[in-house]
Amino acid sequence: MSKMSKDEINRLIHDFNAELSALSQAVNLVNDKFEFDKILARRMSSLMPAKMDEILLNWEKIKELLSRDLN
Amino acid sequence: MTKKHSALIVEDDELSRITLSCLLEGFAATEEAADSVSAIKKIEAKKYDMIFIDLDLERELAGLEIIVKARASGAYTIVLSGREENRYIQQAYERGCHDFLSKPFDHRALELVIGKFNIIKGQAQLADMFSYEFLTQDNNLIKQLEILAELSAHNRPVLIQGETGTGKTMLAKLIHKFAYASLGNFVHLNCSEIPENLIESELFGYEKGAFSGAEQSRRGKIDLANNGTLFLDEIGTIPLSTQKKLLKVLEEKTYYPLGSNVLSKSNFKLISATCDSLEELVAEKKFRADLYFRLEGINFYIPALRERKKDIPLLIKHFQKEFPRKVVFSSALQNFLENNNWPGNVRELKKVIELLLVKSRGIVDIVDLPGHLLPATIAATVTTTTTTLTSYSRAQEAEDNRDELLSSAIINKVESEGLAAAINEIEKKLTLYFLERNEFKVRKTLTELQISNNYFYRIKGRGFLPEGVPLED
Repeated sequence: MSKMSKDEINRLIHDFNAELSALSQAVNLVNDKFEFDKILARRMSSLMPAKMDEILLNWEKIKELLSRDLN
Repeated sequence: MTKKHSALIVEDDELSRITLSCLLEGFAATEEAADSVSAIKKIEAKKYDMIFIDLDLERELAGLEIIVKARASGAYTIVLSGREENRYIQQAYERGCHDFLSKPFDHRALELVIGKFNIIKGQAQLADMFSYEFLTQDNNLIKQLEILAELSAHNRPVLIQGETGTGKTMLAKLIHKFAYASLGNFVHLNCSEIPENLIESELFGYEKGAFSGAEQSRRGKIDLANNGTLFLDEIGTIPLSTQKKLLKVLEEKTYYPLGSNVLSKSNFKLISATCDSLEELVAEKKFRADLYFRLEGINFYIPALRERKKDIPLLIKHFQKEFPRKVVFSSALQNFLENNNWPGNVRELKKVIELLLVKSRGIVDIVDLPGHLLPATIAATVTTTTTTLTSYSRAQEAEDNRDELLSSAIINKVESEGLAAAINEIEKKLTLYFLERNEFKVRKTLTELQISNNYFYRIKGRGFLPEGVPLED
């Protein structure tokens, strides 16, 4: 990974946090909608893996940055 | 809840779009756009009340262009973004967005934005209401409305100041309607109408047996206003002992009803009004300074009618329109009405117009004015006439030095019918004046006139009330 600026690192961490919150909010909504709107709950659930992939990807980047800084 | 608003969500992330759409459920019917091209197409094809825009769409900062389109369409524009750098926030505001929500945002942030949207949308309606109901063209008064946008964002109380009859109660009702009506009831208590020893039971309610005569429990105004608005009119008249208890309610939202040892809770928005200067009452130690500071939040000052005379023709027309039978005011009468100082303000003007409109003639003139205005009118006429004279006689000098209580009308009456008839007439006219001023409330009028019930009905028996005017206890 090429060297990231301070702004880019902040952005990466902020995106990671925002995606986690978005996922958490969506999980809560799936819970709310589960009984009353199963179609919507299913649609939201199907979108969650992609969101988790993004989160994992960002997490990998952060992990790499941290290990690089430690080394 | 009916979806009375429409919202467009411009967001490239589908999960975020659906989530926001769910959060707005019940408030707005939502439509979605995943990129800037489809967003612009939708904005051009339909007028939305609110548009939520993600700054980064198919390309970085593509949302900035949509802000301009959204604002031009008249929509309330909210930017959603993970970008927290000031330069992007500034760019978004410079392009005209109303609000900027940083992702991730929670329910509270969204509620705040929706509250602000409601107020701003309501402001246009409120300005119309002011034109049609509150009837003013006074820019300073209308400008004060802008402060209403702040009401949704916090829990500050509202304090309305203005002379009696300027429309403080009406303004309080309008504020409730536009800012708080969705929350609950509007509960009105005129503190000056309640005897000192009863005000606490009115405010806090009481338990059965709390005092002699308390045969059953009764809810107080504070309890009735729970989750709604409590309007305390003439708050300056509340006794000091009650002020202390009221302060505790405002600070802690808890209180004990009289005779109860169970703590009650009430969460209400407070609007208070006064025609007194609370600062002066504080200086005179008649009003607690800490309560005064607690009441001050968003302050409105309604100017007296004499300070906004250009509103008078509007008001006259409005009151005339409300009456089904049409009559014409002579130009002398119209001139008098437009130039009088109206110490009782809009309330007094309204009562006078109502009395003029029930006159049997089709063309109503200055002589048809109620008694308390008539002497002033005649005096004004006399003054106009005398200014045209160039020489002063001794009689005129005596006339100039005459006590202001002795108007020309009174002197004419004494000259033509004698002292007893004149006194009789003055009694009737003063009684009518105070009755009108007190909205035909007999008890309050008796107190102000300092006369007994019997005396009042003796005067009333001589006949001075227009037909159909109902008296209240």
